[in-house]
Amino acid sequence: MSIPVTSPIRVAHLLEQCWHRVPGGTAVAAVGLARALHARPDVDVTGITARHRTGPPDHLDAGVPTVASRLPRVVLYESWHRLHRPVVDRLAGQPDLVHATGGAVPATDLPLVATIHDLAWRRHPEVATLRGHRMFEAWLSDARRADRVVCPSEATRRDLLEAGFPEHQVVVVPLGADPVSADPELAARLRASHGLDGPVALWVGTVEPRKNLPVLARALASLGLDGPTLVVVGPTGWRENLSAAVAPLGDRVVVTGPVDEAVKHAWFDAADVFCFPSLLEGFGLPVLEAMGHGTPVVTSAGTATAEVVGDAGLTVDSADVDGLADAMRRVIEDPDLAARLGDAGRLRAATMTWDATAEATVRLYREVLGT
Amino acid sequence: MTRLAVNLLSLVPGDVGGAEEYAVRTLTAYGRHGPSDLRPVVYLSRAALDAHPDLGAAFDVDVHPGDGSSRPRRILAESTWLARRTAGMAVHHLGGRIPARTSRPVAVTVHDLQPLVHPGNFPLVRRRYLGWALPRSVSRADLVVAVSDQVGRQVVDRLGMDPARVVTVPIGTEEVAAGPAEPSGPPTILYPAVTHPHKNHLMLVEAFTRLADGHPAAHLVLTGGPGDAEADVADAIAASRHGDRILRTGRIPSDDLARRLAAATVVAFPSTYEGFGIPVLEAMAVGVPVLVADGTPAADLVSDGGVDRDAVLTPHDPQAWADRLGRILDDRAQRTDLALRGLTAAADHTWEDSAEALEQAWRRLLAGPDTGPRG
Repeated sequence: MSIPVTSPIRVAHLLEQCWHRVPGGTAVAAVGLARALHARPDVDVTGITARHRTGPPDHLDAGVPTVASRLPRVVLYESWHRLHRPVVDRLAGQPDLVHATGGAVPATDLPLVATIHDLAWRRHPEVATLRGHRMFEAWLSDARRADRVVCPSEATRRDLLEAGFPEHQVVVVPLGADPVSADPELAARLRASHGLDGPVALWVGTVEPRKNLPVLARALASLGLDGPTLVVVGPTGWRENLSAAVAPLGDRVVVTGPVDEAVKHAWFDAADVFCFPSLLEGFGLPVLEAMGHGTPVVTSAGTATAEVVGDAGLTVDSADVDGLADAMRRVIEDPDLAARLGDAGRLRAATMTWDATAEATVRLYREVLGT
Repeated sequence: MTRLAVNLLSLVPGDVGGAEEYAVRTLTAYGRHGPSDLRPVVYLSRAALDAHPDLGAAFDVDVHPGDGSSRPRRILAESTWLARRTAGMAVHHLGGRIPARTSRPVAVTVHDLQPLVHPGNFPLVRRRYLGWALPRSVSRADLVVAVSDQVGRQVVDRLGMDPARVVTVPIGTEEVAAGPAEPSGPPTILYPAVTHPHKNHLMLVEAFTRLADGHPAAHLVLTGGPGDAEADVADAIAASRHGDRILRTGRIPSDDLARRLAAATVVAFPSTYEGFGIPVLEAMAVGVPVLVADGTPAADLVSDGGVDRDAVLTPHDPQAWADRLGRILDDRAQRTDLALRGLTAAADHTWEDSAEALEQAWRRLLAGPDTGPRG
């Protein structure tokens, strides 16, 4: 195969979601992809954002050159959706194509790629606010204009086809995770500082209804007084009464709130099992992160997390409290099973990197551009 | 290097309206955003400096001892006191005309060609003076600074100015609102304008009277000081069958105006002649829908170079205004679309841009009369 020498593909990425109040996994995905593309010689990435006085949080700084519109987010998103303006092409320096990596789809006259992570708000209307619904519906309907719609899993692909997207428009590109560096000392300190001398079940993410935390807490509570302690790591999104959800666990729960990246990673090392029983995920980045740490995973069957975990974890129906409890008990009580799942997770995670995501994305860009 | 003088002696606080606003705001914007290596000396009266202390903080000032209220004395001072103080400097006259004696090279700001287009808005003596002074000033200028592209075109078309020696320094906005405004109170149409005849209040009162039949909660609010048509406007309100829902406030403090603007459902701006239309840009920047009359710089502003015609109406058709305003009062989606267009267009007119345009104009002036691009 000969590799033709061409000038880099110039692509503008919408990175505005990094400034959303609770950016969540879709922003992490946008940043992971932008960073990996930026590191390649064959792609030049420019970020597009709305008007801002400050940068994004450090872990969501993609490190790519960024141009900011003079308009605030609401005006941009609404105008793009309702009026198909302002066209971003000139602001972005007339790139070869525009990639709407999440949140909205910019108005453009250039070739367009749009990412849709999931259609959770349609499957489970109760899991999003009215405003969230409107934003997601606008994002989805504007994605129909795209030359290709990228989604991170077969589960989302099926939902997109069901929503009327033609098969040739939809492409699956799995997400990645950064390589992990273990910090056993920090992990030990975390356990000690919270008085955790028994088994630890970890959950990581943005606390919201779709994450199914009440079912998780009930399952863990059913394991009895010597069952594991639940550690809940991450910011609160909306309309989830976390203290009510974890009440069945009594004092066998630790709620950390948002933590920095190093602490988050140390919690994966500190945990005996990672449990992530979401009703629906487009991908489920925390599952991949747990796998990278060799932490055995218990997650939902029938949604994207089952694709991500493959044979590196146990999958259970997200409504099945007893099944969930049983799976967690098996992992905690059977060190051989835990070790087998952990090793399989590490192996599998090693292939699911942002570089791999970038490689597949560049192939897609070339297809769209016909180069 | 030649030093630059800016003549603001024409600035009489509270007396000039749009021209005063334009001068103070563009200079203030330059003070904030302009480069530190190009700072002119500003010549102005004590009263003007007291009213606008920011100018003193941003620029070297030279204060004329008179209070600026007597027009003939002011005009005399420009040709005597100012001419002496600015000898050897490049001068930018912001007041719309070039004094009989001036240092060179010389630039003049033209706000509008009203004395030529609407002579009826000026008392006879002033009309004769302006009708003569404006063309004469333009013909003597090395550089004409127009407040909008449309005024710049008129300077070329009506006064025969070389287009290569006309530049636009538009007004701007500081920062547009986060989203469309949420109106409060009863549905309200706001028109902020002095009651000059060309501001077209009578048409708007008629349009409101027609739409008010079908909109029993709607109100019309007319702010702005009295002009030559004040009595006619008062008569029209008295004659309207919905006069009880037309509020003529007169000139109100800027804070009150800002509050009324933010609460308004729509701003109607049927003025038939404007230099720029500062209130239109202000309404757009706060996310309030605006309707304007065709053929004005404000129409260029809201219609995004003529692409969008939804917000632009012919100025003399009260039924069209009644229909369109009525639909806007009724239809939230239309208001949102208009507000979004306004916000988007307003964001293209920032004070940074204005300051940069002013900087470029000044650098051209300082480089001498014959160095501009030829076209």
